[in-house]
Amino acid sequence: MNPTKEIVIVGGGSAGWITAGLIAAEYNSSNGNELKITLIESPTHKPIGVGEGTWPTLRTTLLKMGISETQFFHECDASFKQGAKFAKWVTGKDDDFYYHPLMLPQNFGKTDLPLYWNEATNVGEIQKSFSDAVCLQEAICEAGLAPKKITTPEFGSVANYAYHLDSAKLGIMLQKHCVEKLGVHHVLDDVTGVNVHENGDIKSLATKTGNELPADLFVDCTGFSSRLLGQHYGVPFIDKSDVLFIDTALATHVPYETEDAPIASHTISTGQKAGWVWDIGLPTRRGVGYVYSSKHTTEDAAMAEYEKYIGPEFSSLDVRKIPITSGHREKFWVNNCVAVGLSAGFLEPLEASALVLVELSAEFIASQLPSSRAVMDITARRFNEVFRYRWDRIIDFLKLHYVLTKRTDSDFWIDNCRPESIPQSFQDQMELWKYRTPNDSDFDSNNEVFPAASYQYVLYGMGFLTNPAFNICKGSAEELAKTTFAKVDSLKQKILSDLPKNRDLIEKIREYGLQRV
Amino acid sequence: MPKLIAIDNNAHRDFMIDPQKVEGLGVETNMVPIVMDEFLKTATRFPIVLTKNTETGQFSVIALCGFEVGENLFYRAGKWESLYIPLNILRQPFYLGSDNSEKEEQHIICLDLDSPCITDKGKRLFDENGEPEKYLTEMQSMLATLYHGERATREFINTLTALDLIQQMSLDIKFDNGDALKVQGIYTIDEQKLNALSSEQFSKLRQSNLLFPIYSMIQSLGHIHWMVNQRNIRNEDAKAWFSEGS
Repeated sequence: MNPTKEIVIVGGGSAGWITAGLIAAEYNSSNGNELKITLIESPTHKPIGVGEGTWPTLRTTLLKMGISETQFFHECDASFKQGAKFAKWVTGKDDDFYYHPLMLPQNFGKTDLPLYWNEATNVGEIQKSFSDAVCLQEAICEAGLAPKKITTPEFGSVANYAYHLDSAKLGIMLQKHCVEKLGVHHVLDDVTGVNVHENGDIKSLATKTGNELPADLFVDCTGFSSRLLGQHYGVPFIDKSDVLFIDTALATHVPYETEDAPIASHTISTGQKAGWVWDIGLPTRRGVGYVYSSKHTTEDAAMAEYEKYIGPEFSSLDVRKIPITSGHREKFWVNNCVAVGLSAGFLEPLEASALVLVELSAEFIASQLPSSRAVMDITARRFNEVFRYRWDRIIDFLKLHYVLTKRTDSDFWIDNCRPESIPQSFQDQMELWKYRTPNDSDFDSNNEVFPAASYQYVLYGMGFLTNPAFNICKGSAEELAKTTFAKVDSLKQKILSDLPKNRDLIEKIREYGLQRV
Repeated sequence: MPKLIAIDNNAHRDFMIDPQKVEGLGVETNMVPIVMDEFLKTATRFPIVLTKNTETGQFSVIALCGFEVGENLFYRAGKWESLYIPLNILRQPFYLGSDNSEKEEQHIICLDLDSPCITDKGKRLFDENGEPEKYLTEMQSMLATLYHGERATREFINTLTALDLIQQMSLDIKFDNGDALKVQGIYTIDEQKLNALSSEQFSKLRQSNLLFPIYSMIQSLGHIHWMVNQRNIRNEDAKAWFSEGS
């Protein structure tokens, strides 16, 4: 059968360009391939462009595409992200916060840190949050420091990091790079029709200017409209709003009070009456949004809370309202069409899971690109299995942030804790964790998105109690745990005096650049 | 910060500099920045490597004098054990400043008034009539060499960076007395990448006269062995000093 020679990607948001870039980089580097990649983008529809938080995986993605980190900082208004700080998710009081950092606990997996941390806390040996006791990143973030130094090479780190960025600028940079460096064809036109083969495969796309774009594989990156997978193939949407209640986002950009105001090097997520506020520091402005459940509040009440968070300058800001339907398609790859990005689904902005799913999907397509139509159904089946698993696990992990709350000040928090809103498999999992801590054996698929360490950070950050059924060991495992807590303390002292302020480093990168080595 | 002031034949007419003390400034220097013009002489004695400026992350070329901050293995018993001493040592306590009051940028020579090298014996800057002494004109030409050399050196580094020819050096040294040292933060030419350059890229380097500095950097790394040996000798000496007499 015909070998795969042409790929058409529909949609020019971050999803489209990341997919184009990763596939092009993979096949450009092995010479002699005749894979033609075309991205068609509507000249009228603008990408949604709100997602501003990434995972550390974006470093690998940029590196693979051959984009320098210095260029990225220049062109995407990027800053560092060392995890997330969750404020007011447990009690709602002013001193209520915990961290989900991007570094594993020190000596993770070698000893049962949460149990020894809990015990040391009970006997008064430790007065620190779980994440602060086992990882130095919380201290770095609280001190407003960057995760590396100006002498650290591009993409190298002292502390693990991801990015905050201007997603519209990311799209522009990727477009330029894909077209100029990676040989991606860029077509500005609207898709007006879908021509099909007898077997239901897409043969070509008809466009407004009267052209036809044939291809062997079509990637649907059309955002919420899901032009090919949803509209053309009619793949059902699985609504998850019974688990994740967020259905509306209000988003705006907030200027800094002064030019040299500190830039937070972590996402700040603050619990509200009927949702939560994201607060993301870019070098030139903050991106602040309130996502809430319209079933639990009114727009006016949400707006009032939003205004209270932002402060007096709120009245002068433009606020965009974006509806969200939490859920995903039943399948993502049908015939010769695969959906990447919002066209496949969206849950809510928590933990920046949207962009990482784009990277994972694009990576899967790039590395397992079916050599011909004959084997495409096998790849499609695997893709669907892998990504259904991933969506389910992400849903579990996002739900985890809500089910351990002690807030009872609104129905939003109370309803989130009702068992009927929690997937059964996840309830079972939580039941087990009452007696033992999450470990890697709970997450043994090759396709995990959030590792056991992330579950530990959220569980014990939110005050979850694991009561082991067996007495915990007093011997070498306890020694190792104590050594670990001491080691984190000493590393913290060293690193805090060594790292620059986050804004200082970002400004230096913009002025001098980072070296490749 | 050094207290810099423009030199002037009235105010500084009787100033004298002790060259012995100037050389002595190198005693605790483990890295001295050098410029392209110095490569030939430097490479006969010192390893020429790259290091990053801790404030900007930018590379600079240096003569490596010691493995650790505060260590100069080329300075012993009050003098340099090298016929060549880098200009950035010898030009002290003079600095180049710029005078922006004129339309065209003018360079002026400044003096660090806090320098211990300003003494009441040594080389005079001016004669009794206020004319510059030979010592001062030598300093002027040294500063000019450094000024122009820094530009050429920056271009050289930019070329190395653009061709991705720089690699980090990992030096794991074990001394005779059992001490181990991991030297970090120094960089050199990546020979593999140099050899993998296209003919076109390579002949461009040749045309720009950059092959000599590249190969002299590679060749100069051999001096590291001398430095290790020197440190072993010093460790031995220290042992003799601290050992209890029998």
